[in-house]
This record gives sequence, structure tokens and C-alpha cells, in this order.
Amino acid sequence: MKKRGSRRGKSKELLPSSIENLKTNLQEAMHNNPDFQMQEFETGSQRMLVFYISIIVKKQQLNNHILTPLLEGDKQWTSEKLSNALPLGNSVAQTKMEEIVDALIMGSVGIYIENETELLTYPIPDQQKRQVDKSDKESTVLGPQDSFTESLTTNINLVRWRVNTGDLVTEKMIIGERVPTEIRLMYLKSLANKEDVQTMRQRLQDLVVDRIEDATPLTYYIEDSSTSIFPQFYQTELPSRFSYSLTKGRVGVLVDKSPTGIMAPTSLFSFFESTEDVYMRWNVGSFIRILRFFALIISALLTPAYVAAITFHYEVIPTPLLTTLGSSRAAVPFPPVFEALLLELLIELLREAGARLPTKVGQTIGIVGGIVVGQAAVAAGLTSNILIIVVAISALASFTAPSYLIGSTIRVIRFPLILMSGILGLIGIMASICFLIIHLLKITSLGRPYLLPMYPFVGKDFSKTFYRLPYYFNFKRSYSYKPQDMIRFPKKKSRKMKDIDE
Amino acid sequence: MNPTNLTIKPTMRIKAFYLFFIMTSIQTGSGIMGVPRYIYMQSKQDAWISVLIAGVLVHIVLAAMFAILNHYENTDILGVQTDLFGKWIGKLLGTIYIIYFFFVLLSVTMDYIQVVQTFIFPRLSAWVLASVLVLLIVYAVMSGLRVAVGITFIFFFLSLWLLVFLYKSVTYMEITHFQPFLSASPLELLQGARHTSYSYLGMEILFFIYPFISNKEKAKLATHLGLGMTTFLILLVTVISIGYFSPGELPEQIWPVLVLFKIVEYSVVGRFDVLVVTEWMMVILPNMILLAWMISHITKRLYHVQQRKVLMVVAILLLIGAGITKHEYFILQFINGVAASGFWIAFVYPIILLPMVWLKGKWKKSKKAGAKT
Amino acid sequence: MKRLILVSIFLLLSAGCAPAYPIERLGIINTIGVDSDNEDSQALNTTYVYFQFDPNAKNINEIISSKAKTLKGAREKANVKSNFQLVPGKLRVLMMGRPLAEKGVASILDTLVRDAKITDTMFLAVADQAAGDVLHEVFQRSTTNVGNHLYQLIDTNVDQEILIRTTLRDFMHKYYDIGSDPVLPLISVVEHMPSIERMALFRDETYAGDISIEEGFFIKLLSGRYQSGRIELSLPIEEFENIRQKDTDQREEESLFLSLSELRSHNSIKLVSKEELRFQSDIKVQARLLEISEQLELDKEEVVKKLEKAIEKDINRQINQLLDKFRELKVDPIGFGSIYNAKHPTTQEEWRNLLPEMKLDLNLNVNIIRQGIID
Repeated sequence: MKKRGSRRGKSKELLPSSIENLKTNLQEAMHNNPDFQMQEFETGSQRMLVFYISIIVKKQQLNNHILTPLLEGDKQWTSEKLSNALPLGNSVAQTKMEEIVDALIMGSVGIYIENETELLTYPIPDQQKRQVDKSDKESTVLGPQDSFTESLTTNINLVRWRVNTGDLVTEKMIIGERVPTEIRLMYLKSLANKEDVQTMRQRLQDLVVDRIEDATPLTYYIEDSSTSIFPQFYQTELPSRFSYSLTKGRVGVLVDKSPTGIMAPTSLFSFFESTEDVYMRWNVGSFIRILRFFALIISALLTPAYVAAITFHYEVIPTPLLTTLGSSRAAVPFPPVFEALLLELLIELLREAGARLPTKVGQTIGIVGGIVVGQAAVAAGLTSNILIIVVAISALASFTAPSYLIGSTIRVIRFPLILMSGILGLIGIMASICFLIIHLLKITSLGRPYLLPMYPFVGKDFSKTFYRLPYYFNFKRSYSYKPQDMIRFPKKKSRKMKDIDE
Repeated sequence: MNPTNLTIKPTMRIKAFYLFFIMTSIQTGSGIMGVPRYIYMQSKQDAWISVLIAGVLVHIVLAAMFAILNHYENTDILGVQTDLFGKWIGKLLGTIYIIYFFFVLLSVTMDYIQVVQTFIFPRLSAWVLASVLVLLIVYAVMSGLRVAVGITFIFFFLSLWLLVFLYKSVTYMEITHFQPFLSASPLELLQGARHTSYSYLGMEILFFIYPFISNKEKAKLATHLGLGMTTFLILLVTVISIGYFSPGELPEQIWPVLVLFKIVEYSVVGRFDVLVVTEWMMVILPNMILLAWMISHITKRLYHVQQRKVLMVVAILLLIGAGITKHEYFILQFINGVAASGFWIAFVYPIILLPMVWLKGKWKKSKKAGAKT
Repeated sequence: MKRLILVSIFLLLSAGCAPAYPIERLGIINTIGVDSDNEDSQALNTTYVYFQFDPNAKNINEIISSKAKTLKGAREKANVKSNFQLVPGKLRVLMMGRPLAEKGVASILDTLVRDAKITDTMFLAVADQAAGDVLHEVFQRSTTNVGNHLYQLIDTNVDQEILIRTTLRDFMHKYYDIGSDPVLPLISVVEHMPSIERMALFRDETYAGDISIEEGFFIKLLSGRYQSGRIELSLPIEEFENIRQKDTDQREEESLFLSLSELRSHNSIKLVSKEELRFQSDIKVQARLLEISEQLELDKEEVVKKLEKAIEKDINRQINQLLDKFRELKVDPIGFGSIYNAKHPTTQEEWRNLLPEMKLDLNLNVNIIRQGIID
């Protein structure tokens, strides 16, 4: 420690120095990294040192754009001349060892001309990244198909390309004490609610953590209530969705090394919106959106309702169904709650196994598990065949949610609901629903109520949340999140009704 | 102590718009399940006139309440009482409110538990239901007024659809049940009107919630409309009940409104009354949550106790109170007792208070004028 | 907070969950037959038809009988005989034997109404013998599902407006109403199958007499409205002698048979004079002539008018016959009393005594709108 301190004290005198001196200093600072390479050149009377970490710089660029011009002809170089002459931008003049090391680790090449006072670094990092690909998790039928990759530059590129306005602000922040990660706070300057931007910025700045693994864990650090089961920030891997939200006045966060964009504030209902609804005709889009809300209800309540009716409320079951239900239940040796939990668990197992296994095997497992095990379970008298239908429908319904996170939330919520329905029947279900609604009322997203626009009630936003209307009704932005500019486009003059055959 | 005027943080304020739902929700709870019967026993087929009379009278009371509150800048009834009667009597009156609200809360809980036991789970222990309800109340009130109002608002719409299913009983109504017209004496009509009081209880909430309203100029309209909605609901169920039940049947029904749903039947849902009783939880929960909030709020205002602690005590008392009562006749008597005392506290008291407030205001003015000259 | 949650959960668990009724362990009663016992006049013989979900049983229905003083007691006793827990939540039909109905059924129905588990939409019926015998015979001799069969028998006929709706709620409603008496279907066994042959008239809670289904048509004509009713009439043929198309039809018959269907009716009854006890009823009937035993020139207006007049006359005659019967039995299934009561409050007894003096002026207006696809 003391030694380091003393060296830092001397660091002002690091340059100018001789090549040999610099070499030893660098070698020491790089902890004798085997990939660290130093090359000495002589042009004319000058000696110069080019150094870099070999595996994270682009070799081709190094050769073509640095070494070739450097060594061509016997020129006299100074650092200033060099930075003007090399066909690479953003050269940084360095004097401190720490910064030089940081730059080298980020993929820079350092060039030192002997006895100069400065040392130049050129970032030519070679980052391995995958191609922009189709999205798996949030696939859409209509509209753009590309998805974010793990590279922040690519992601920013994708968003910038879509929102090509000077209004788009990308604030750079570094998070992580031990392993720093670059993140970008993005919003439209003249649109996004300033309060929201400030809240998000504050939360990101205040975050002290050794390392963030990905965008998803980052949300868990900065969301409003971490005990809640409901996601409070929207996460997407679709640049189209991300930029759509930005243009609606939301705040977005992109994290380096993560293929997920975070958006806030969000409401429960936005998890059931897909960008596809926008690409669809408004009436078809409305239908599909309402269908998803129904799917949510079915998915959460169908199995509990079955358990409640079979266990406690035989009188609610209509007579024709009663006989089929009764005879299919008669052979089952377990109480209905147990039966339902068993089957729900089976479905969850299938889902999990399908997600972990390679795609081809996963499909086979789905078929084997779904059809063979299901059939066998009924034949063996472990479950009633009606329950199989019920469980299958509710599992199917839970996958209609465009956001994978909310889908899994619903699937988990189902289990306590089934238990409650097994204990108290319909009253138990109703109590659980009440509990959930109270809970949803309590949580917030970036300080804004989670159930907007239902409560606080903003009736004008219903056409943007629960259903859709033809475009000429949507000339205003959503009131709920108070964007700075309400008007999307000037309202059309009321169109004159034409008479028949006019 | 008890500053007459309250300042409420802007984040804690609520819009006057929600007063409509607060009013309707706190009034339509357990009372409406049985109210047609009580009115009918007094004024027979003219019960609906009683409802209208009661509606008009209640609106007058509400106007009086507004007159009292508007006399001050931004206060609740506790501030008014301290201003009028001094610190100690003010505290005493406030305490009466606490006790009274607790008994209303208890009566609602007991009534609902009894309904569930009658219609769905005859052998289910009251403790279980009471603890479920109490847990929900505590969980909701913990987050304060804004969440309580949110629950009121959302549950209002989630339970409003029940009205649609009254259509079936409407088709069974018989016009002859309303004839002969106007046969009840004015006294009977007034008696009937008085028996609606249990269903109108809860409008005192305005006295406490008023300082929280952000746009007070719209409060009057919203509150009166909310009260109008309650009147409409009571009128609706009363009219349908009179038309649907025979003159001999109605006095025998404890919860005629629930029985109205017994004839609704569909090919997907064999029995509708079970669903209605379940759904009724959404009708009574806002009611209970608002009451529990008021109790904790008043206690904090009066005695500076943490709202959290008050809530815990209320929860435990409520649990015990609702858990140990079993006998139907006791519950009915208890409810009648609450209704009777509620009549005086909710409706008569504001009317008495108003002239006092006026007199005090006049006296103050003359004193000021006297001091000036 | 946490402590409270713990305490509540503890309470929840210690009090146990709600008593479960898993359907496979239930005997879900579908139909009950109640009779008075021959020896012990206080006791009730009760027969239960219920669903049982036994994977080994080949019939989903089971029948069981027991004897007790009350309906509830009878169920307890029946429970002892059954390996399923008998529950009444899906009770659809209650059939009462005629001897019991003659004694009065109010106490039995009162227990049903009091029980929140029992639906108001269940049907009531009277058996023309012991109800238990009907159920047993149908159960043993026929292969149909007796519980459902009875329910559907009544239900479809009510739907087609052949029967008057007779749910528990309707019965209790009419029973409690002043000046209105209930009517129930009277079920008899024909070739081992239940069949509704007649309708039972009640005086308050007791069986007073019966009328045919055809006569029952007029009760609804007078007291309610038809959406698509049907009626078969036979008119004296002499009136149509001159307009009959003899050349196409050579048969010689004494009456002209015709059937009206898709009959819509609208009716209003007023009390015209309190002193004379005179009511006036205006009935408008619209119907389609579907079947007629003679060839008439129905495209001619005067023929149709004549036919309509004849129909009116016949219906008028039948209604008056029926009213005579009601006066004689002192029953009021149409509910003249409640109309009277609405104007001049009265009691059930007073009205009962007034009933024989009651008069009705009938203004009947029949309108035949279509005659099928051929003239």
C-alpha cells in the first residue's frame, strides 16, 4: 500500500521517461499479464513503444491504421503530430499509470514516443458479440423482428436508428464498485416527465453495488418494492418496444453486456400490451388486448375455481356438468386441492424442463410430458380428465402475456390461490383477490401508482390501456404519466359527414 | 392540541371526485342486504316513499354537515368540537365517535360472517372468517387513506355488476304489490324512513375526510351525488323487493336482497346466490377499511397515538368481538342498537351542531366588532 | 404486523378449514318425493333420488326412502342408509303425494324456503298417487335417469308454455299473496313413465281439485301472457257448412278441429265494480292457424273473420266453464283476489267467501295472422 502510494506520488514524474523505464513500469502495473505485448520501434532517431493487450484489440486495425502510418517513411514524430496524423479518432493523451492501465484493459493501444511528456492511447477494442437476431422470448408476428444483443453499442445503435431525433438523450453512468458496468439512461428531453427522469437518475446514482450481473438484476436493486411479486419495471428485448416507450415519454435504461432494456414507469396493464397491438388495426388490436386480460383472469382463477367448486360448492356446478365431473372425480383418491396442485406442478415441471433443454429435445419432452403423462395420469386415476383441461387452459392463458415476467408471476400466484380455495372455497378465492388488489394498489413504479389509469382514475387513458381506438382519437399522449408535451399531432377537424351518394 | 385548522401534505390529498365512491361504498355495505324488510315492516307497500323521504332528509343533513365544515377553513369535526366546546368535551365527543365507529365496524363484520355462515358454510367457525377479514383490513389500512380510497374506488366497480343480475327478479315483479297506493300514514312513512338509517350510516366520514380533499369546490357535488347513488340503490332494492315478494313473505326474509338473487340461474353457474355472497366481500370491505381508517385516524388526532398501534388494537378487538358472537338474535339486536345510536350520532347531531357553529361565529364577529369600536 | 399475521394463521389452522363437501363423496339429491304415512298421520314418508359417483356403479342414480316427522329428520335417517352424504343443494323437483297435498304442504315447503342451500327455482309437483310409489316405479321399471327425467319433463313443458311455471318461489309467492292460489302439475305414471296428465289446483296450501292441461291453458291466458302458446279447439261444424269446400273434402264429421300455434296473447283485468264484484278482462290473441280438419277458403276475409268469431265464442265458453269450477271449489288460481286486494285491501278469508259471487266480462279478440305456407 505504502509502495503504491509512493509510486503514485512519483506518478507525475512517470513521463517523460526512457523506454526501458516505461517498460518495467508497465509490466509491473499489468501484473505480468502474458497477453500484454510491448513492441519497440525506431523511426529515424526516435524510439517509440507500442503496447496493448493482444487479445482485446483489433489486430487488423492495429496494423493498418497505427503501425503502417507510424513506420512508413522516416518521420520525426511528436505526440501532437501523431494524434493528428493517425487516421483514428478519439486519441487520449495520458500521463497517469492508473488511467493508462484502465484504457489498456478497455482495449486501447498505447503509443509512447521517447522523452515525450504524454502518452497516447487509441481505443480499438475487439468485442465479441453476436449478430442482431430475431427475438425468441418476445416474438411478434407483425412489425420489426430484431432484438437487443449483449453489446451496448449495438443496442444504442438500434435505438438511435429508430428514434433518430436530437431530442434523444443518453446519459452515461458507470455502476459497480468492483466490476464497473456502463449503463445508459435514455429519454426524450422535451417529452419525458422530468420528475421521472430525476427519480431514475437518482436511483441509479445512489446505487452502490459491487457488480450488476445484468439489466434484470439491476431492476431488482432500483425498483420500488422488492418484496412484491409483481415486476415494476418493464423489461424488453425488443428495440421497437423500447423506442415506442421512449416516444411515449417513458424513461429507458440500457445496460452494457445485457440484451434487456428497462423501461419505467409502467403499470400492471402495460405488461399486457404488445407493440403488435399498435401494428394491428385498432379493432383487432382491441380484441386481442381484451383477450389477454381475460387470459389473465382465466389463468389465475380457473384452477382455484375448479378446486373450490369441487371441494365446497357442489351447488354452483350446473347439473349436466355435475354428473361428468362427479364420475371423473370418483376414481381419484386425492382431495381436489392436492390433485390440482399435483397437476399444476406437472405443468410447471414441463415448462421448466422445456426451457432448460435444447430446443429439439424440449419439444419432444413437451409432447411426451403433455400427452403421454397426462393420458396416463387420467387412466391411472390420479387426476380427473376435466382438471387436465382446466390446468392446460390456465397454463396456456398464462403464456399469452407479452411479457415473460408477468406470465411467471401469474403462474406463481396461482399456487397460493389454489391453496386458499382448498381451505375456504370461493370465500378464500375472493379474499385472495381482494388481497391482491390491495397489494397492487400499494405498489408503485418509479413513484407512480401501479394501477394507473384505473386508480388514480384517468378515464381518457382507457383507450390506450384497455382497448384501442382509431388513430384520430389518439392525438394526445397518455395523461397518466404527465409527459411534458401532451399533443401527439393536431386534432383533425371534425370530418364532415357525407350524405349517401354524394 | 387539536389545531382547528389542519394542513395536509399534498401527496396525501385526494380528489373530490372520489368522494362519490367513498360515500356510496361506506353506506352500501351490510345494511342494504336487509333494509327493504325493515322499511316494509313500517310502511308496507309505500316503503319506497319512505326511502325517498329518507333520501331527502339525509341530503339536508349532508348540507348541514357542509355548512358546519365550510364555516372553518380546513378542519374536521374534531377541530370544530374543540373550537365549540373546549378541549375536554371535544375529546370526549371524539371518543364517542371512536367507540361508535368501532361498533359499526363490528356490526358489519358480524353481519357478513353470519351471511356467509347461512348461505355458504354453515359449519365454518366465525374465527376463521373474522381473521381473514381482519387481515385484509389491517393490510389495507396500513398504507393509509390513499390506498383505502383506491380500494373503495376499484371495488365499487368490481361489485357494481351485481346490479345487472337483479333483472331476473325485475321480470318477476307484480304491480299489484304496490297497490293500494299511499295507504300508509305519514307517521308510518316517517317510521319507515327512520329504519333506513342503518343503511345511511357512514356519511359522517365526510366530517373526517374533508380536510384531505384537494379541490373542495367540487366536494359538494360529488358527495351529494354519492348520497344520491346510495338512495337510488336502496330505492332500487326496495322497489324490487316489494314487487318480487308477497306481502307475507317480505317481513320473514332477513336478507331479502340476497334472496332476490336466488332465482338467477345459468347454464354455466348453477347457483348465483353463492357467488353474490362471495362477491359481497367486495361490497363490505371498503366499508370496513374506511371505518378502520377513521378509527385509527381519530385516535391519532385526539391522543397522538401511532396509527399503526391503534390499528393493531382495533384488529384484535374486532377479531375477538366477531369471533365470539354466535347467536343470530344477539347480532340482530346489536345491529339494531348500532342503527339506533347511529341515527342520533349521524343524523341528529349535525343538525344540532349547525346552529351552535353559527351562533359561535356570530358571537366571535360581534366580539371582534366590539373590540374594534 | 408480523405477529398479527402469525396469530391469524394460527387461528386459521387451529379452527381448521371449512368443512369440505368433495362431490365424489356426496349423494346429491335431485328429486324428493314426500308422502304422508298411512299409519302415523304425523310422519312423512320421504323418497330421495340422488346422484352418486361410484365408479363401480352402473347407474348414476340411486333411490332411498325413509320415514320421519320432519323433512330434515328424514334426510338424517336416509343418510344412515346411504354410503354417501346426502345433500340438498341441487334439489330440482319436489313431488308430493296427493293425500299429503290434501292435508296441506305449507310446513314442508317452509323448511325448504328456510334452507339457504335450496334453490328457489326447483319445481314442485303433485303425484296422483303416493309420490314415493311414482319414483320407485319409474326408477325400477324404466331405464331413464329418473331425477333428471322429471325435471326435464316439467322444464320443457314450461318452456313450451304448456304448463304454468311452478317453481318453489312461484308457489310460495302465490301462497303468501292475498287472493291468489297456486297450481301445480299433477304427475301420474303411464306405462312406467311419468307423465303430466292434469293440473292440481290448490286452495292456499291444500289440494282442492284438478283440471285438465287444456283447461290449464286458460289460466295462463287470463293471468299472464303467451309468447308462443298453442291450443286445439273443436268448433261445431254447422256454422261453416256453407263455406266448406266440399269438393275437395268429402269426409263427414261433426266438428271442425283446428289447432292454433305460436299464439301470442295479451291480457288486462280490471275490477269494474266492487259491489257487483265484476271484473273485466280484455284479451287480445294473435295466433297462427296451423292445422284445420276441413278445407276452408281462408284467403277470404269474411271466412277468416267468421272463423275468428267462432274461436272466440268457443274460448269464451270454455273459460266460463272453468270459472264455474273455480267458484265451486273456491280457488283463485288466476288471482282476481290480488286485483281486488290492490284496490280494496282484504284478507284471504274474506276473499274466499266473496269468490263465488265473482263475475267476469270477457272481451276476447282473436286474430289469425297466418295459415301456413298454402292457402
